[in-house]
Amino acid sequence: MSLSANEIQALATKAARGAGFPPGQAESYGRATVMHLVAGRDPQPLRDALAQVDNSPILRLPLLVDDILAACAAVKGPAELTLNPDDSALAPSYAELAPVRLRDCTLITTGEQPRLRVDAELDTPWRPKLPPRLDLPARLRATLNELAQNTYVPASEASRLRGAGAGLSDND
Amino acid sequence: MKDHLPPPPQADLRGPDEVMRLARMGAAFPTRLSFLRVLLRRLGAEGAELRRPVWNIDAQGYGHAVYSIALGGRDYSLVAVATHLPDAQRTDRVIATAWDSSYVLFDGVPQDYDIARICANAPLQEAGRFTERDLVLSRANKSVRLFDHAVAALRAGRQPDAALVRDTGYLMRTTAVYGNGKFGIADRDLFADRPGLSGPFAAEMLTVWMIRAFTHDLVAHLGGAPLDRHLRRQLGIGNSTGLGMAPFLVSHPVLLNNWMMAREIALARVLAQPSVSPAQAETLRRLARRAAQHLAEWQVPDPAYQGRIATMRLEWPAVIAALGDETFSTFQPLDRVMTRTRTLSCDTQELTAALLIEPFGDLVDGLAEGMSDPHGPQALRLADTGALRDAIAARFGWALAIDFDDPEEIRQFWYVSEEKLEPRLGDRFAEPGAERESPLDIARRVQALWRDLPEAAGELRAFRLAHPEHELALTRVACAVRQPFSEIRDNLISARCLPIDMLRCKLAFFGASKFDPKSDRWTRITLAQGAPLPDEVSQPDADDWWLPVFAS
Repeated sequence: MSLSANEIQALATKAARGAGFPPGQAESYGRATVMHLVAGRDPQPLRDALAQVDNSPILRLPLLVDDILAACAAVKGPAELTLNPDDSALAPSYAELAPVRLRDCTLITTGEQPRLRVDAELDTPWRPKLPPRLDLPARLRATLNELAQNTYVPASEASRLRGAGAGLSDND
Repeated sequence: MKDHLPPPPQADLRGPDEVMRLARMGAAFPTRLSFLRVLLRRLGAEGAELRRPVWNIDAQGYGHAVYSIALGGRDYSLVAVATHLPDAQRTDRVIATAWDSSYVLFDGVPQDYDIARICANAPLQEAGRFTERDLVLSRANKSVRLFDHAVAALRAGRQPDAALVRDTGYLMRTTAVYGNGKFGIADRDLFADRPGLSGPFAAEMLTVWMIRAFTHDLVAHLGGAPLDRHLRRQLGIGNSTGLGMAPFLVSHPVLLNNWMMAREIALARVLAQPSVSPAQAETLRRLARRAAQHLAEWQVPDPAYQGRIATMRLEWPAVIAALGDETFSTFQPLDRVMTRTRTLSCDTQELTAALLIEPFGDLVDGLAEGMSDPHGPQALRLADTGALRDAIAARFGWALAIDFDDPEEIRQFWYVSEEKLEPRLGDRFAEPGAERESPLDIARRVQALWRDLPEAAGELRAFRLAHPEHELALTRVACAVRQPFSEIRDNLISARCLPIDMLRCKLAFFGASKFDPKSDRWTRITLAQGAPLPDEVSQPDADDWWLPVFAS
């Protein structure tokens, strides 16, 4: 199904919260989900990450942008960051959330541990350009919708009357 | 080159501990930096002309119309769809499923197939499906007390009752104005760098202003005669705003900072003026008299709110008196005026601030360019947990002082109802659902982070991995270091929290006036009342509509 980026980001954020992740990490997951789909990467890791609340890339990868900026600043050029193998599939999508332009962002899977090679233009603010529409694969969409439901409070007459402060006449 | 001129001198900014309190945010008034004012100045500067290429409305007032306007070198069109709505179904709540009219702001000039698609989907609102050519989605209901009266009067060869026009202020009120990708419409990022639409909510303001023109035309169509110009000018577009708008101010801290910062810098620049010209002094006096009339015409049913208005009416003569010649003969006279309001109500202080900014467009209008957030989320840039601790101490002392063991300080919880995903506010101790609370409890989260921080400075990365539950609080602290006005400095889950204060602050930045709270959770307001009509927007005095007053 074709959606706006904001629809996908909002849905993915709610899904991560609904899966039990803290709201800060859920927000990063929502943004990374958009970047993942923009790049046309395999959506399965997005689903897998939601399934492991205690040991998930969703908990670790929000630190990646700061790691990239620190590493590139320290070496004043390209850097390679060693990744947790469980994080490698989503790492480029989180890296692309960097607020500066990345000249290079390449996942290296040869060797003992996966690495991310990055080169950041630390003085060049950057906001990724998004396409007008994004396809949300059906299985991922079903997962996100199911988990997002966990953030909604079932409707009741009391909440309908009190929750939004209604009760007075609208017709005037 | 103008770009290289140093910024004008400015007085000390009012601090966030003063400005970012709910009580003061809930006393906000529109200023010349309000988004609708900014948009209409731009339209005027460009000599924009509103065209109506399609008017397919039947004798009962149902059908569709298209309005088009050029802004920043591009065409934008409002597709307006008017449908029959039984009185019993007319409600302003988000949970409504039908409306008197629905609207899409379209990117370009729509072809017949675009119009057919929008006419099929716009009346469905949240249940419809939209495309990236659709920039804004909205709907509006008729004002029962005025719409039919206006039509009947025109049919009888009369103009509608002036007092009713004054007291109502609009023919229709919007009950939602959706932007940024909702229901498939375009993401804001797709047009955020376009001239004319780069400012916050510019597309939404353009939509609302065009809807206003449609309501005028619809009444004229049904009444068989146009409304008099001075009545049309007084008829803005109503808006009914509930809790859905409040979380935005919490979830967009950079925007909130940029809005407040622009207004506060504007005030500080004005207060630093060593003197004002006789013409500027006279403008201030004229606007102060207008404010007095505005206060006199501002009537609301809510007794507490009306009491606040009554206090302003009593206090305002003191502000007018402060604008005398003796004040203007002193150094920095406007600072003197503002200082003299210190003993008056918060409402009167904020009205005075808006007044003082108004005549100084040359000094402040450029600040509007800094009110959006072109960069998005930023990196944390905190060296270690010691820096984090210092930042909390410096920026969140107000949050650390709250006693969250007191049940009243955590009584309310924000949540999203599964019923049309309507944001709501519940009583934690009396209603179910608190385990699904929306994370608007920033003060509580920052205090919890503070308690878990080690005494000695340590590596921030290790702390973040060990305490993922604090990530949101941590990002808020980092944001507040860069953007001091990013955080509402009050406990948003306290029993004392009044969401209406958040709504008013945001609506004032839109340019709204005549706040008319229906509870502490939703309010009616009027937008574009007194604003230039489409054929007036380029006139020399078109921007002179701060605070609407009724000219009979």
